[in-house]
Amino acid sequence: MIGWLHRWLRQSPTPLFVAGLLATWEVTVRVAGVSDTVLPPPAQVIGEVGSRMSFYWEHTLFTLQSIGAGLAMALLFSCVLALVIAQVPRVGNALYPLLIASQAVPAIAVAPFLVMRFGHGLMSKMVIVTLISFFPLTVSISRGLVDVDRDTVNLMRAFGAGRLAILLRVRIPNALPYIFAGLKIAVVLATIGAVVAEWVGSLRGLGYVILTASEQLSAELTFGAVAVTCTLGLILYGVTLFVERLAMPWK
Amino acid sequence: MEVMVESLDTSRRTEEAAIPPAPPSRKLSLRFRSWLVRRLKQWLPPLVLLALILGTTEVVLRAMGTEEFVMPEPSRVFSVFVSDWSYFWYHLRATLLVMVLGSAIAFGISFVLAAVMAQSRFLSRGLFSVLVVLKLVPTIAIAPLMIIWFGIGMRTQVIVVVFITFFPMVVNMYSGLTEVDTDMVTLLRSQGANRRQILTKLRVPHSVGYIFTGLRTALPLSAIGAIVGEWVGASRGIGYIVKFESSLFRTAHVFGALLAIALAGILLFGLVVLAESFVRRHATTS
Repeated sequence: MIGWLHRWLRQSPTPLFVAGLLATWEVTVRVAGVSDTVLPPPAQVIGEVGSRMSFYWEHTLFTLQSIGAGLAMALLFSCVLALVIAQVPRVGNALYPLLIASQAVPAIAVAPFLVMRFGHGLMSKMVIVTLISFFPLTVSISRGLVDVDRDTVNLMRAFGAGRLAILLRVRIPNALPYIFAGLKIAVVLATIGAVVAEWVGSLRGLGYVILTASEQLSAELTFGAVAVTCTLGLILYGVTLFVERLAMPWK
Repeated sequence: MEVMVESLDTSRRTEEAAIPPAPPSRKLSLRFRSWLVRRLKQWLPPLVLLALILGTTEVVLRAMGTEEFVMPEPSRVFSVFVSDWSYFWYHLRATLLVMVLGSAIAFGISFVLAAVMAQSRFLSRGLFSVLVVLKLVPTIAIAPLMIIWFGIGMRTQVIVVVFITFFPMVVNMYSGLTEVDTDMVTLLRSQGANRRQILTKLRVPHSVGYIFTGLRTALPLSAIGAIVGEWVGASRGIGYIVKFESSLFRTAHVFGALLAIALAGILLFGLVVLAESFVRRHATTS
């Protein structure tokens, strides 16, 4: 058991590093007597989240809704866009540079305007999440549809396959790993988008909790919400990896 | 967030086959002309599409008689942008300063950390996965805490930018520094090169591409960081005026501010691309 543990830690000392980091944080804060309002020790943050589970869950659910709805919209939107880019090269060549240039506007910056237009509810958050996450999806899906094996396409064509058959049997299967590559980037951005959108104007959600708690100088609540947000981001990423493995078991 | 921003070559491949590469003996003006034709073919379609989109928006908005605060016509945005240019420039300067300063500091720190990590197996194994995880975490969430820690002001905004751009940058740099040919390392070592020489002669030149990819990734993130930093505590900058003008329903000014940051972003991106090609050329000649 000890030997196995030793080997495992030598193979991947990450848990050791994380534990060391948390321990240093805990000890430094306690020894240096840092005020809880500036930086509470990690044990206290964990205790805080544990003691108010239902409160955090309620706000997490709202944030999760905006992430889910926004990502679904972004996926739909970018699939359509990528199909156009891949299947109609004339339009695609004109559209693609514009898409890249559009990224010069940080999607986050539009948030106050969108909240003004769509109100403080779910709708504005969904639009912001869609805006921030559609770009990596579109780029990777269109790349997956275009970067196909030329020989395979030529072979299909030689056997009399039409564009639709090539799309269904070559291009879309080829794009599957690219979709997940894009999704992994989009999930991270979507979490950022949802939290930041809630800062601009919301009455629910983790971003709302972080902002109001920090304005009231309630460090416990702020740190609790930040911890939950970070965990949520990681869980969403993990779920994406899991779905990827389910969708492509041969990888 | 390493989105490859290259043009998709759907038709470019055939197009390049049609235009044979100019032989070196050909006159410079001819080569320039063929270059110009290629560039035009590349840039004309998106510009036409852009004009089409803007024109349609203009006509539809005018025909529907949409109020300006709901959605201003493109021509109105342009006229506001031009007439109030000094106002936008005043705020854009603040945002750009925060973006550049924050990215530069993050660049320095991540370069040092990546170089140190590349020297130690234990450190890199343990720390690298922590950094990869932190890259995935929405680090921006702690921006309001920065106000508690560092107060309101430019310093806090810069720290927010450093914090959000640091993790993707360091992960990229570390990958560049370590994904070198192991045979080359062995060769250098057998010739008696020490660690520092391997770092400066092999690892750093090899990682030029990775470093610039990191910079290109950091650019949009630094804009996010600067704007969010302005929201949580500043009274100057593009993020500030977007929020302020939105609350006043002066939508044309909101779009003017977005146009300003977009132009600045494209300019910065171009600068990074130029710097990369300069460094590459310089590195190959030496």
